[in-house]
Amino acid sequence: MLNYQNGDQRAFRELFEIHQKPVINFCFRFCQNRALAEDLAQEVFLRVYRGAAGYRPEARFNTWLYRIAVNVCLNETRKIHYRVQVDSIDRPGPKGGDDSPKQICDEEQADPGEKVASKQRGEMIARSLAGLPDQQRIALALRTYQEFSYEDIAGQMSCSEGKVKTLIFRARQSLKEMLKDFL
Amino acid sequence: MKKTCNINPKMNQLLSAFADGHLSEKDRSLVVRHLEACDLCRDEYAAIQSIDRLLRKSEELEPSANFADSFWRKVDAMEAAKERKAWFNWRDWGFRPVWAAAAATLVIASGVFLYHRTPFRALDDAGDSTGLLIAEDIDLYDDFEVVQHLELLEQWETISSMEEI
Ligand SMILES: [Zn+2]
Repeated sequence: MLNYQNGDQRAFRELFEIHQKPVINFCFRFCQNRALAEDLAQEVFLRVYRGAAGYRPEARFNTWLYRIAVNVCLNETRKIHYRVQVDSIDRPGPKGGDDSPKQICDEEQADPGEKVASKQRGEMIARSLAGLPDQQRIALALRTYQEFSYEDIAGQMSCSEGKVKTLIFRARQSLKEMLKDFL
Repeated sequence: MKKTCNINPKMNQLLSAFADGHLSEKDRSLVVRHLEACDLCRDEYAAIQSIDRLLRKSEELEPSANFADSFWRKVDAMEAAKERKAWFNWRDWGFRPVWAAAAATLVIASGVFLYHRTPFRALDDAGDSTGLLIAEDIDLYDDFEVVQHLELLEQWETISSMEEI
């Protein structure tokens, strides 16, 4: 990141290569729509590109990156009053290419029965996440998928650690109810 | 149906932070001791862990084939816009004085030209001031394009801030 601040375009390209997939997935978990998730992720990287000068080296780049991602996602909900639409995990995205999301493989997944079950489970998880309030969904995603500490998440969401703790607790309580058939 | 621990109603919330390793040492040992004694909270803790496992198993998108290309196109467009803006700034701050100087030069040149034209010279010789004549007959300026557009120079701030310029 420091190299990039010194004008090294190649350093930015490397950051983009490393972080594009996790950022897309973070946005996807937020909006459950591939096309929108990729637009949001591109907006995140454009802001990183433009805002390199505002990056403080004392913050880890990863923490800063997701602070931007949180802002972009929350802005999106303010901008458009969109209805969260759950993409079928089989439906190809509108941009072509290798669009089918990859399920992280279980050994049993070769079994067609398990494939169907896994697909249903994936859709149910997506629907349950979509049913959470935005802030709970963001806090839980930052914790579960990006593995940030409560302190980092508090910084990214501009709130207290206590609030983060409550958001994550409530998200888990709701998911426990919604996903009880899969637990 | 939500079940709450009868022994410690706050245990649910503590368990969530415990699962994330975000408890003080005191609370952590409280939870550890409680889990040994309370079946309900043990189940609750197991449920939290399976939710996390389940979430981590959920689908992962691969970036679309043209994700990177379309991003770099946006970067190029942004850079091009930045260059255009830099050029406007240069024109705004650098070009404007040039225009003003050109206008001033033409005004002076036209004054000299008018001064040397016989009728005015004659009038001047007769004791009239050229400046006064021009001031009285402002249409005399109309032959000189820059002078005609002096009002544009005055409005330059507004004009240059318009997108299409
Ligand atoms: Zn208990």
